[in-house]
Amino acid sequence: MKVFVFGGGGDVGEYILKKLAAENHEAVTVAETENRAEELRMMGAANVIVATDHKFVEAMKGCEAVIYVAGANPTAGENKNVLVDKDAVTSAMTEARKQGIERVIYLSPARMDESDESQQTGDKKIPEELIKLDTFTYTIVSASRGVDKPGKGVVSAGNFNREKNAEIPYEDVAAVLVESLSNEATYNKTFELAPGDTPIDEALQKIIKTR
Amino acid sequence: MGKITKYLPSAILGSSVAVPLAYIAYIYQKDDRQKQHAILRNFPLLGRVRYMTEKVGPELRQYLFAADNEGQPFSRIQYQDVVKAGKYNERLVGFGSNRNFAEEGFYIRNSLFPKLRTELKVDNSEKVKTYQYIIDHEGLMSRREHREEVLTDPYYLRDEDAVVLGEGYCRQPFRIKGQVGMSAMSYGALGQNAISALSKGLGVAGGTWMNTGEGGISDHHLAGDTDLIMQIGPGLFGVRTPGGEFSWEAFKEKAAMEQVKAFEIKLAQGAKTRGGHLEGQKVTEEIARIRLIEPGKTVNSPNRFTEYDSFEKLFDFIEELREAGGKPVGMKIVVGDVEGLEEMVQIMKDSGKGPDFISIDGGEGGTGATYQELADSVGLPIMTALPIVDELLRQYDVRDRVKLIASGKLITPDKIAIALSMGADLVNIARGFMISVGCIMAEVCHTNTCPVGVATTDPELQDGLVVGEKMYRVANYVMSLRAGLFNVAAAAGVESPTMLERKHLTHKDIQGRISSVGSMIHKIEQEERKEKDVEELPDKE
Repeated sequence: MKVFVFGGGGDVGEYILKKLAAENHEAVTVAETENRAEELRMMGAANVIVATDHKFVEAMKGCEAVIYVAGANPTAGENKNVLVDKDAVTSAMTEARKQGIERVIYLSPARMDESDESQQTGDKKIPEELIKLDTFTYTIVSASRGVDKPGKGVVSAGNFNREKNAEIPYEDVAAVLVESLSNEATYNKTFELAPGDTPIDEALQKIIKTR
Repeated sequence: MGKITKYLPSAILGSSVAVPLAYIAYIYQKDDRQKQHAILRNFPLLGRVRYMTEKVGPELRQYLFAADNEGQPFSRIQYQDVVKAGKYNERLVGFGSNRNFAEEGFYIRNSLFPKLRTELKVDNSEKVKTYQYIIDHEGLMSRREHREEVLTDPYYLRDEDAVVLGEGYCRQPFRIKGQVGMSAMSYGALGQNAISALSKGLGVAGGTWMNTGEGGISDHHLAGDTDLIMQIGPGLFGVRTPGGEFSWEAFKEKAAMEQVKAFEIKLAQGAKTRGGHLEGQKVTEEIARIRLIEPGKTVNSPNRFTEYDSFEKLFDFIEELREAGGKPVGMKIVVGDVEGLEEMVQIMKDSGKGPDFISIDGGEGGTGATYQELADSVGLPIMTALPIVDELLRQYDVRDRVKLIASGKLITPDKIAIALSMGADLVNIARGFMISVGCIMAEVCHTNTCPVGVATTDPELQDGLVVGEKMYRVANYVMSLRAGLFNVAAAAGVESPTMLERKHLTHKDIQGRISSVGSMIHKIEQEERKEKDVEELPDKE
């Protein structure tokens, strides 16, 4: 499957590119500079465009799904007073719809253990509400605090009461997002992702039951 | 029972006074009879105190009285920088530098438009699994910390920036995706645990190499699947016939080993421009097998390859080695005789022969054991030696045929970056790696009593060094050095530390004036001309 990854250069993004390549998907993503683009290709991205070249539309042609890793990127967007560039998400989604892409997987910038107040700050939650209202087959994931540790391949997915201070390896978050691509149990679901002891595919199958 | 409780306090009190008094009386009397120490004959008690404080002085200074920047060969703070990089993978400092900025020294010229992180030509596409410590609580008497498995960016060079030894000259060139490696340290000088930890740690970090030292390739060097550069010293250990001649069979056997990537002929070492001496009792069965010598027999190695007394002969030998082994061959030198060096470079140009790499060891380089007179005053320090060699090679148009490896107290990224700017392609580190496997700079490497089991073959002392723990500190140290190099490169405005040049460096003197470090030889010549002019001035009388 050809997948457009927004945020492929981030902590989780790098693992998404590797995971997609390992599972014979074709990853397309965006990098800030040519040197960085080259590095992302080394990680397994099939096509990397440089942001300043403005070739998004072309690159998105033929893609069947979008994985969007939202986050505050210090080098993107002019209005730094919002933590997530809501307009960027909106325009990306508009373009995806135009290209006939139906599948969208979105990693929320709001961590699952954040307080309500913190979740509201900077309109972090707004983009995912917009995605839900759209016509996409969506999966929205809100994860625990990510860390750069080796992935375990086991997680717990569903709804939690905001387990505090839990940490989950970026590698596992990436694996869940990629696994969700064609796992129908995650279609049109919003779920939380925390460390656990269930193998990823099993954990995703369970979501259908918990909701 | 009653008697014991009654007399115990006075017995303790009595003995606590009587015993020291008896001891003092004893040594007083004993000292009076000896002829060795005048001070003890005249002032036996004070003399004893003097000897005792002299003995513990280094420890007291190191732990209590020396300021952060004091202490040689490495200051307290330099030592801590290395330890922290290995243990916590941490290079941050708080509040500011401890460097004495009034002194003269080299500085990196920072660009006003440094490179962004995303503009660097780094290869972090494969992360490395390692362990690092995290402090939970730091108290006065205790520190609570735990070790965590983490994924770290290795900071490799990109494939196109990789440094290649022997490219175009030998059948199997050695490609290295990093610029920092381990300098020659033999098994025997360092114990098996230290060598194994180093080998495994370097293997984890990748993009680096391990120089075996002249003591041959031991199983401990091979323990960690890291790339090896085998050193051949005048003793020809590991590549000799029983009679002490060079053995081509043994050499070919070593060259055929997958892990061995290059050979280095050691002409000299910074601190040790002398031959080696290996006491018979240290020649165990294992050492004998590795070095191809007889067990239990004392070996004296000459301070020069007996057969090779000219560059022509040496270069022919290098050609033969390269042909027979198919792998790059380099040589390790210490710079002092600049004219001799110029002759060498001239011969390199004329004959088209020569080494694939030259390891330049500064006079400040370390060693397990040497004589003070050689350590202190023979051979130029690296920041003088390195630019001279670099410039001579350029002057004679042979610089592209040979890679330069610099060494001599280059244990932090800034020092390494300065060496790279001065013309080095790669950097060798020995003592930095010793510190990362637990060296506390007790300076007893020559006595086999190293308290942390690094520079000793004593099995009991070595027991203190846990390979599975220390190996990750070695890996973290290398990766952190490479990260630091990219940091400096970005600040200097270049995409990779391989692009650092003389123009990125400046020298500040004690009065704050700066000068370029463009040409060292040119400066020497200018000075010589000035001196000559003064000599030739006509006498006024």
